[in-house]
Amino acid sequence: MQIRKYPFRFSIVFLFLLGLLIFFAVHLVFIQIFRSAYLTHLARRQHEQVIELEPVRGTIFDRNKRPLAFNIAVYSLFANPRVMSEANKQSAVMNLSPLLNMSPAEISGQLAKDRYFVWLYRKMSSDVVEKIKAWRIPGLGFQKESKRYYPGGPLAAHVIGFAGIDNEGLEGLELAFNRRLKGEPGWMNVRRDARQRQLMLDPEFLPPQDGMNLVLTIDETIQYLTEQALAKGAEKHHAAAASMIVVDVKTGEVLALANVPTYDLANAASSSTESRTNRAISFMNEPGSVFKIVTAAAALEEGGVKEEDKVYCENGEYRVANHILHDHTRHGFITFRQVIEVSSNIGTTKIAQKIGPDLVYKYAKRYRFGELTGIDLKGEVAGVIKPVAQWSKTSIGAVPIGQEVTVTPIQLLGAIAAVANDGVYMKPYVVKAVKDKYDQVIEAFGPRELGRVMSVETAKRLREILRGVVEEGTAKTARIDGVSVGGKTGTAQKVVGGTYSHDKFYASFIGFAPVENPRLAAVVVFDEPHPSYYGGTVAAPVFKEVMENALKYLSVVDAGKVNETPKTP
Amino acid sequence: MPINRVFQSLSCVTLFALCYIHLQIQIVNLAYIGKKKEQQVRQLTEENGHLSYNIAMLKSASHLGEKLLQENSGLRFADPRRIVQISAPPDKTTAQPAAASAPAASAAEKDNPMLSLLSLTKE
Repeated sequence: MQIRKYPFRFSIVFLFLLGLLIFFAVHLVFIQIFRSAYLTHLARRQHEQVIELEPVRGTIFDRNKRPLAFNIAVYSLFANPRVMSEANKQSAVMNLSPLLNMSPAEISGQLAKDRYFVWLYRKMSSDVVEKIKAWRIPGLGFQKESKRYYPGGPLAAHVIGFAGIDNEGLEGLELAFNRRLKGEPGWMNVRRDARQRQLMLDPEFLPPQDGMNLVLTIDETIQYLTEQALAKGAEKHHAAAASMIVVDVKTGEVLALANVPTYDLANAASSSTESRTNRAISFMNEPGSVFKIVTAAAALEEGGVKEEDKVYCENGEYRVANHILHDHTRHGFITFRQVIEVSSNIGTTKIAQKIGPDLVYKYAKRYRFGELTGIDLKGEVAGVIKPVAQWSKTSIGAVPIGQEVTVTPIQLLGAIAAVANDGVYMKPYVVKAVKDKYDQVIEAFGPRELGRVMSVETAKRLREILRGVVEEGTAKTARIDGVSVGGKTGTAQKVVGGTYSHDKFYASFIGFAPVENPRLAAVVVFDEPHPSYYGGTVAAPVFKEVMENALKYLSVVDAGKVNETPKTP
Repeated sequence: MPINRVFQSLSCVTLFALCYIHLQIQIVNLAYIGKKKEQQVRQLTEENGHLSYNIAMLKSASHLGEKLLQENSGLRFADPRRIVQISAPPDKTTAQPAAASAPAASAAEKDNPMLSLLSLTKE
């Protein structure tokens, strides 16, 4: 009735409401269809967050599965300078500076930046984190990261190496196997509520691939023994540097590799380049008398020389071209065996002259001098040995006694291990296996023969001669009670300014034990020991200490394995 | 009447809608609880990591060597010639645990007649 009375007003209201309805409908269609993508994107940005999932860096174990390097979660401190008031910033500078051992200027500089995110301190310990949290300074926050820890401290530093602040390998195996250790990051798309709290609500994610683990050939106990003995020897004889390597002769597995100076893996960033250098594989030096095993092997194998053949050692002076060669002790007629036992330079040179330089060079190459051993550590150098065509007239009096050649400790070790292993040269290696986090083997590295240096018979004869060096000759300090030891000492003048120094020497010893059935071989090299500088005085006692304890330790380990009760299925 | 039908339909729809919303709220609540549990697990994992590091450090050769060998403790590696290995015969090591548990089992069966009943049915 009212409608009939006021039809015009009704029409106006009706049209107005209709128009409103149409407007809303059109707007709805516009939002739902034409702006859908943009608004969905805005909503996603607000409600969803993509988080990168950091993979866990692989652990490095010794041969007995004792961890040498692994990652654990730590917190890093960041600040949001844009939301911090001046009072908050001042409070942060005042409190953080003494706690983090940073200068106030450094912290102020970070907080002065016009950014939403600045790092203040990376990877701090949990007690420091709790202290900072207790202050409740607005604008400060923590981000979880993982940090590399080395529970052994400086143990096997030159083998393991270290990873940097971003978990990237920078030295040693951490660098050489970085790709396998670091893994692949994943991601997760999580929902957030209005307070930016994350919800476990149907997240999309790609799980991270954790890094793989390395199992080394290194034995933590033998490594420790080696490092202690080497450090003690270097300190006692005031050596500038030293290296020692211990290897299983049958397999080539490196049980210990140590250098002096060394560094603490936990503080690698503050260590010097010199302390981080792996001298055992990357420093060359003239080996001196230890190189006489080359001439000895050549003479026995192909030179037709027998142990009891007499050699006249010219009573200590012998001319080779325009050079006078000297012996440390004057000798007349001695046997070939005694030439090696007493380390006669003249006797060795005469043998070398008899068999010829080509044979000497041939056996030096068979021992792989002048070539890489192929150990799975970066930075190995090959050393230098000149081909015979480049020898001078005096070289026949130099090369056989370990001059005019340069070798690395690892090459000397490979050579003496070949003598111990019946003439077979085994490739030295430090990584035994790569495993995943479920302990499944991904890649295994086993013993590898690189060639035969000499026959089994010659190796046996040479071992007996080298036993004589320890029992009767220059290496009496390497004797171990109850264990037969064979080896060779070396004392080489250092080349300084192009000439041989008279007061700077390399003292070395290469050896193996037991002689009858060799198990371990080792090389010890000291750089500039003084006042004592002979290999028999400086290097051989270190060999004895390590070898004695290592063999005792391994015999206990072996006894434990024999007595293990087999597990019932 | 059609208006009643409309009200009934609207009521049903409203009821289902309310149920749906309730379920969604429960899902979100569970999501919060799940996140909390995840944080607890993460915290425990982190603590486990720190404890593992402490254990590894204490068991490391460096630490043990420092404590045992260097602090004038007089400890040295044993000479293998001074170690005597004694092997116990297998019957003495494996038979005793079974024999020891048998009397305990029969005593338990005595105290609990139900157990003895079960033993009878087993046999």
